[in-house]
Amino acid sequence: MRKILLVEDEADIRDPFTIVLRSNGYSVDVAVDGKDALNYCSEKSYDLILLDLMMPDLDGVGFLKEAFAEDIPSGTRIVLLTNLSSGTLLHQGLDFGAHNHEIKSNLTPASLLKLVESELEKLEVTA
Amino acid sequence: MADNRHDALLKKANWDSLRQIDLYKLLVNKIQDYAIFLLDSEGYISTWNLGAQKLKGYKPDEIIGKHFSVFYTPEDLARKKPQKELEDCKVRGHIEDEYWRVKKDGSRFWANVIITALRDKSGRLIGYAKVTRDLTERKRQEDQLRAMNKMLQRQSAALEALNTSKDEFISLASHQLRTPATGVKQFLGLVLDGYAGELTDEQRRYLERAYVSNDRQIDLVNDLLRVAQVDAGKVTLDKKTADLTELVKDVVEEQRDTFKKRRQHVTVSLPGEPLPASIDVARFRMVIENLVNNASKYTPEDGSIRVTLSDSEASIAISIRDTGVGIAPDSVSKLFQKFSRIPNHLSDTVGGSGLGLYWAQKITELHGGSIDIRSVLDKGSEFIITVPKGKKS
Repeated sequence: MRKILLVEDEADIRDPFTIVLRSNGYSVDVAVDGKDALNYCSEKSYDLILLDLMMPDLDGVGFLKEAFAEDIPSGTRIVLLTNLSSGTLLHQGLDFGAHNHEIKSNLTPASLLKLVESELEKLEVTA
Repeated sequence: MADNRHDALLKKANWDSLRQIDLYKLLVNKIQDYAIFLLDSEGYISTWNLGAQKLKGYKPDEIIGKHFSVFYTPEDLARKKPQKELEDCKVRGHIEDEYWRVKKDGSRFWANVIITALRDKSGRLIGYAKVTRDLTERKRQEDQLRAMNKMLQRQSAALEALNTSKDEFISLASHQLRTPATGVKQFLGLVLDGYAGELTDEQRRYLERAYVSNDRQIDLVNDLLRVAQVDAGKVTLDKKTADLTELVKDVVEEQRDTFKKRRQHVTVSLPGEPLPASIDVARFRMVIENLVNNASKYTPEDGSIRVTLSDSEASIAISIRDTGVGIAPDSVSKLFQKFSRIPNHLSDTVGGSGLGLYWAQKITELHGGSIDIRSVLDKGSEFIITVPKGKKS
């Protein structure tokens, strides 16, 4: 079963995303901010990390820097899920090596699944 | 005879030398804009002209015999500048510099100073010639210019920072506005997609209306953000050579379901070969989507939409023609204005911010193209996007 870490501070976005992903057979861990995500990552590895950028305590870029100070492992895809369509944080996240980004407000349950499937396929190709 | 000629020549030579010295004195003494005077080999003043008197304030009897260091500021005296300059001049033969000098009344002026070492035929140093100009006014103007330049640089940096913080503000505002609407969209999406069980037809109808309404709010935020970026001049096109034949085909195919739902007949006329253009694919795609979507929104059921791609020698044209509501001639000019919505019998049911066409035109113009329109009220409209042709690979 594919392992996904969803990092999102907004419960009203986190909960429906989790329901959609778990209902479709993915193993999903849910982190509420960057620090929480660091704890998950210290214990296990993930195939896909869906990462919000603007979060209290430790934002998405801060998490990337701390979790992957060396390199993002080749077995992990990182997609920035954000409602920022520009700005420093988004650029920093992409510069740091996140593989893709998606505007959360554009996503529907079906397009979220499509995004996840397509990212995991890329993982299979590169693996 | 020979002696006489010699005497005459000698006399003439002496007379010429004397005349040259007199002319030289006359010339130097009459110059008022330059202080020209001689120093002996130790730096004591031995001559003084009218320009020196005017510039420095000393009369000849007050200054001749004094050391030239009286013209130096206390700071330069402490640094032993007068002695160093004479030493330097002795070695190099000639020096030129600019610095502050002191007048008799203690006031300072910005001086351009040239000192030349004078030597006799045997090469022995006999003194120095010193020429001084007052450049205080020029210095003041230069300082003023420098100060203004610095001020402009500071203002420019402040404006740049302000612009950056405005961009960050737009980005953050869009984030904050989109976030709650995203929550609504996700939960409605869950229910509509059956994650919470079966819905009655009535429940589905109401929820779909809520979903569409929420999506309109998200679209509005997106449009506002896009327009704010284009108005701030912050759009940098990420141009690549792309095939417009493929792109137009793709956009129309993606909207097939919508056309079907609205029972509209769509025909696409594409050339049998790729038509490359240098475009920002994501943004240019949105321009085409915007116009195709508009054609669909303002065309009633059973109406037709025809999308045609063609090229001329230098440009490519995408025509989107519909049999929709059309636009009255006096409203055409308002179409590309911000927040412009032309009232017609479909505008109540058709959502929109009135920003899409404004943005599409700006983006097309950034590509070096244009959007033209032909329309007849109640008959339909034709929008033509034209962009420069790219090189075939």
